[in-house]
Amino acid sequence: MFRARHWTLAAVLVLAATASGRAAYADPDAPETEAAARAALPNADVRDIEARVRDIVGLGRVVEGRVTDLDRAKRDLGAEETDLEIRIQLPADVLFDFDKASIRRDAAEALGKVLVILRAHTKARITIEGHTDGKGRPDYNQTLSEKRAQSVKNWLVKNGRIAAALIATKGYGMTKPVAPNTKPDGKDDPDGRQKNRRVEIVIQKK
Amino acid sequence: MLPVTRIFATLFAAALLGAAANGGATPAAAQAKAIQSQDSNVDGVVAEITQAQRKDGVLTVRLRVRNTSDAAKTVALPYNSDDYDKYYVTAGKKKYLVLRDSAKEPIASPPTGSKVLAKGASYIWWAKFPAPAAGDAKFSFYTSIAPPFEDVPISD
Repeated sequence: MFRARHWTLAAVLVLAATASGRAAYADPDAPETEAAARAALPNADVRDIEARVRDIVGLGRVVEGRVTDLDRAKRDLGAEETDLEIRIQLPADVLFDFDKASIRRDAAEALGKVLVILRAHTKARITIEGHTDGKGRPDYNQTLSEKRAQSVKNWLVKNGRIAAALIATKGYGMTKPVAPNTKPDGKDDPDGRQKNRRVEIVIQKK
Repeated sequence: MLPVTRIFATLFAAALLGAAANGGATPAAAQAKAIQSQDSNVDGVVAEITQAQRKDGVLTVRLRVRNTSDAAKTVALPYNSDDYDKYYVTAGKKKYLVLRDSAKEPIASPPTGSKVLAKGASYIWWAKFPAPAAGDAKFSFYTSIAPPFEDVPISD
């Protein structure tokens, strides 16, 4: 019994060693790696450089397509662009359910357009800012705005494979409204509050 | 040491060595002199070719990415099998893609996807290609993380 248990453990260890990430190709200088490379030579994928030239022509078409997609994405999102940055304002009501910080499924269309813009600026620094309306406790809104900014970042990183290190997030709560939360007579202004509930994505081009 | 215990110790050592080798970067490789160096697409990260060796019809290329900044950086390395086709060599009038075994697995560093490099850290990525013809002394190396490396000398 004792010995059987030990041999089972030994078998597990052997499997672990074998399955530790395609061990055969862990080391480029290992004899088994070199042998595999030599064995692969008859089926090597070597292409004529003419094909490469045709690929470049194709790439040019893709780039043109991207420019078109990029312009369309900027226009659809109402992005504001200067020499230094692109600022995209997304209504929170499009991205999140009321009082929630998880991304709605149907927000994918808008965020997909954001990705089109981000992919055209792969070296840019990105800041995602969360903002709430003026209703409710400031500390609660502050936390909600931070969580929402983080959720947008998580979505972009997961779905767009954007490097997380390039994206900073910040929550401003209710401190930076873009419209009045109340009307001049002091009554609630739902339209103004709706504008204030937003996420802003700032892409610093330089 | 009891025989069974000795077997376990050996197997443990083998497993640990296998795991350690997965990074593909020995200390010597991490310090190797760069043949060609340039900025990558990520600010603060330098991409360097440290080996371009032709042997038995196979060209081995080692690419080191090195974080020279004061903050952690993320470099997007091959994430799936298709990504390896973005790393290729050209020489003469030919384009050479990463060699693949009979299971179509690239003979290269395992896929890692985004690789986070701490401040000052480096990572060695490698791949094996069909070697350019003997008359080709230099090659160009294309990746998805940096501009092309041009006129890289081949050592035989």
